[in-house]
Amino acid sequence: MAAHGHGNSVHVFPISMYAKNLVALLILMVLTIAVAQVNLAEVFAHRGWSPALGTAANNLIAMTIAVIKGVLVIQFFMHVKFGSTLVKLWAMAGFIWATLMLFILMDYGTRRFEPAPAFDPQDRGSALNREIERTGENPPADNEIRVRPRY
Amino acid sequence: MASIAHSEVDEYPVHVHHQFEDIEQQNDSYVVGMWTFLVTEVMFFGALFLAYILYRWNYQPDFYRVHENLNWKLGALNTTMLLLSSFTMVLAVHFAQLREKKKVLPMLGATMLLAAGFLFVKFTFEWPIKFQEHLVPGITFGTMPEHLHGASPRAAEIFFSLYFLMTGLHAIHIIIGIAIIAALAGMWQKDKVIVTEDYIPTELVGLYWHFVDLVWIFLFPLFYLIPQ
Amino acid sequence: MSSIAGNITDLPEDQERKHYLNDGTSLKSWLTTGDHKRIAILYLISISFFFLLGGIFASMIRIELTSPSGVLMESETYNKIFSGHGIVMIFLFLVPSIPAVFGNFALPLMIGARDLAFPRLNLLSWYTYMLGGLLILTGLILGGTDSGWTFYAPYSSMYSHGTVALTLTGIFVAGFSSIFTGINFIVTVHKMRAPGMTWFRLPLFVWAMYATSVIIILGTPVVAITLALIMVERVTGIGIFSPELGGDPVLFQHMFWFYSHPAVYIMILPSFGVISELIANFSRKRVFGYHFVAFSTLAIAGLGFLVWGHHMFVSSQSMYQSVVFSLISFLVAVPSAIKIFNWTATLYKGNIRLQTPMIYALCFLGLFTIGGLTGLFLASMGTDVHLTATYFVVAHFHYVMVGGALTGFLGALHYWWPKMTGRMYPDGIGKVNALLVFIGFTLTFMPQFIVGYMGMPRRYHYYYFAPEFQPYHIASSLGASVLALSFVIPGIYLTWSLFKGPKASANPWGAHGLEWETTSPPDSHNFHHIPVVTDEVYDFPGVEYAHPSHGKKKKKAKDAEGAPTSKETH
Repeated sequence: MAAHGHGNSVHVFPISMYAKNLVALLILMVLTIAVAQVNLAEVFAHRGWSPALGTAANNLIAMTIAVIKGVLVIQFFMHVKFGSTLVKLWAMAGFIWATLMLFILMDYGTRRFEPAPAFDPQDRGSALNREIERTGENPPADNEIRVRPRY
Repeated sequence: MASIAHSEVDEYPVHVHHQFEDIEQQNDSYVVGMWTFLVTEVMFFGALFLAYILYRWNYQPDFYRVHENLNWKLGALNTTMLLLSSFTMVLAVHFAQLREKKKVLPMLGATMLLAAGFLFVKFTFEWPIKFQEHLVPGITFGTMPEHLHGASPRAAEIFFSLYFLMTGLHAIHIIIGIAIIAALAGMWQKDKVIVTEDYIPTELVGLYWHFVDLVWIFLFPLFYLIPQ
Repeated sequence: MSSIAGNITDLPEDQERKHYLNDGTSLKSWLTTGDHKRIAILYLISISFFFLLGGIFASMIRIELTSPSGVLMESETYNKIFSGHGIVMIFLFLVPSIPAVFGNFALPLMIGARDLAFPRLNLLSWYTYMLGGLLILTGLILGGTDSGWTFYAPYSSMYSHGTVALTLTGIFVAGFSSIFTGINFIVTVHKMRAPGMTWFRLPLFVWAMYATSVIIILGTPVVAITLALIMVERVTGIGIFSPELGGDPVLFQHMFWFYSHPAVYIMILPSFGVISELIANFSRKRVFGYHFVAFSTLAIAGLGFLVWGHHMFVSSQSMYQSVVFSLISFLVAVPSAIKIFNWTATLYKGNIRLQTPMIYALCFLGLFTIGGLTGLFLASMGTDVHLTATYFVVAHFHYVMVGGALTGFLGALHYWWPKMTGRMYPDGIGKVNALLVFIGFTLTFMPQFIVGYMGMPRRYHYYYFAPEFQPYHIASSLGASVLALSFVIPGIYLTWSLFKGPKASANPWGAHGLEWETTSPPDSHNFHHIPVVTDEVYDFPGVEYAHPSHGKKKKKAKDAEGAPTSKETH
């Protein structure tokens, strides 16, 4: 089909490229479910390694597969592979939120090293606030929680 | 240069807005603009992902126990539907590039159908059960403790807060996406020059849709496939 | 052929030239415009209204603090007043001010474009701003929020009695207005520069607008979602910040300050851009170290995202992470210092003309330096423990926000006023008023450093436990009265100039830049022919200065050999 205008630089890709990507994405999805069924923590424990490492391995594999799927979608479905440098740059720029994540995790992660008695390394959640029982024998007295209009 | 472009602009059926010199500048600008918007969306969801990662890191065992309430098979079905919808969307763009209206419309229709299917599964099978099992954060949370599977109620409440917030925000984006695709399909149906002669509007809608799919690609393993 | 002949034509005196202001005068033409210049004027009017509102709140605060036990209002009202002051001034005035008014107006002119990339998005940005402003205004009228502009959880999400949800909706909506402007500027600067306008021929104002837009794009969505989470938590009880629900309040602070620290760079970077323009043009000299200034603008934008934890040194943040934030906060001061040094070096051996915009620029140099240096006291953890949540912090950020950003805004207003309206204001009154701003400002905020160091906490209604602070507060309130006066006076003489001021020529300051190549006020479509840029930025010898009044025609120095002096059309 003759294109109007000057050098209408439309790259038309064959449907087979998209189909191959779809198949790859579906296979990766099946793979991620399959790996999730395998309890790597137990497997590692059997071999004498730390089970926490097994959980971490599971997480790592799941995230790696998710990232690969994401890259496939971005590169091929969103045409970033064939786009200008500017588009590639912006496609990567959004992930600056990762710095937010990194710094915040560093904050919570280094709290254990502080000389503060409130943090109990056995209970990871102890840096977060104390338990308030909703149900059970000792519900908090009403006068401790001020009722206020919600809008 | 500028003067050459002017004569070609008159021939080009799609209207070039007055601030642009030629259609190429206009299209490039729209694509960069759309990507900039998608970057804001990445930051929008990214903050929620961050909160999720923080709490999951701190409450890993509790999250594992309580996530069993989420049916991974339904999640897999949803993921498949969304991946297929991304495929049909990119095919719609492909046919738009080739200006084959007869093939664009079915593809857009298929995308909308799959998206509607996603919402149907979510809102008919997944969410209502949580309400019945008292797993929605609030006053009634955790009053049926068997559904907590031994997780601490505090951590479980956080898990479900994040679940509803993130899948809810994602569902809002899907609903908006369906509306936009419907509008696009309407324009194709009416043979509006702006979409039939220039594939860029379809491509822009496609970019948005692929982004929505991308978010789900990350949501699915994080919520449904938590390892022990 | 000079672009002047194409872009400025002399009409007979009785025929009014068509320009963007009188090209269609119905209300509908203004409210449905796509013209970036008209949208800039719309923003100017709305922003001035909100500035007045924020100023009224400030006056009430200063009246209240003249007595150790309060004068007019109860504590809860006082909390709502200072929260309202913060919210209105930050979200409705400072964040949009220079980008939405002067960025919108001057950016396309400076790069030689006919309009921004997405004019309809620009108009939507204004309407969104108005909607957000209306929501916040409604929230204020219905009682206001007493959570501070920082909305810390769990107070704002669980216990506050004010109109938190409504105000947050307004801020959420106003945030989108910001994002739309940011998208527009980024695409415009990338895609719509005139031929020959390379990146390093861009005026530094354009660099500043670009960097600001990048910060807006990356930061605003995070605060949008954070505030939306507070709203959801308040209304539905689904939340991740309140301990009652198992959440962590400090997470809110992390997410909030991730935007709000870059937000202060959104507020100051445009002002940096303005100051570059003012100092270069009023010293008739190229900015010293142009490349350094351009790159330091980008460095501030980048580093600014890595320092938010310095607002949280006493919030149970890990000590080790605080060290990291403290270190990077010291680093981020470096690019700002580079700019100050470069601007000062630009003044050296320049042909300085002390007109009103230049007075504001010089005020900026002094006031921002003080503000920036006092920031270092707050960046170092040890001193911050003593100074945090005191009036020292208040004085610091007012020095950089008012002494920095607002001075830049006023300087820009006085610099581009003849271009925007085609009228000149009386320069003498302008200069005196600029000095009045400086005097009022210093009297208001310098005592606050002292009283803050002595221990006066911020956001406190009473200080009866320390009546020795009263003289400082009274001095501060006196200064505030002078400052308020100095904001009213420009309103008067600028409005007067609209009706009675002498008509301005195309280039009353003898400044360099594409925006000074078109008429004052410019045509609706900016340029008849898009200019081709052949000379470097701030290249002064080619431009001859003409006196602004008496309608003298400006002469352009042309080389006899025919080499183009500055711009030429096809």
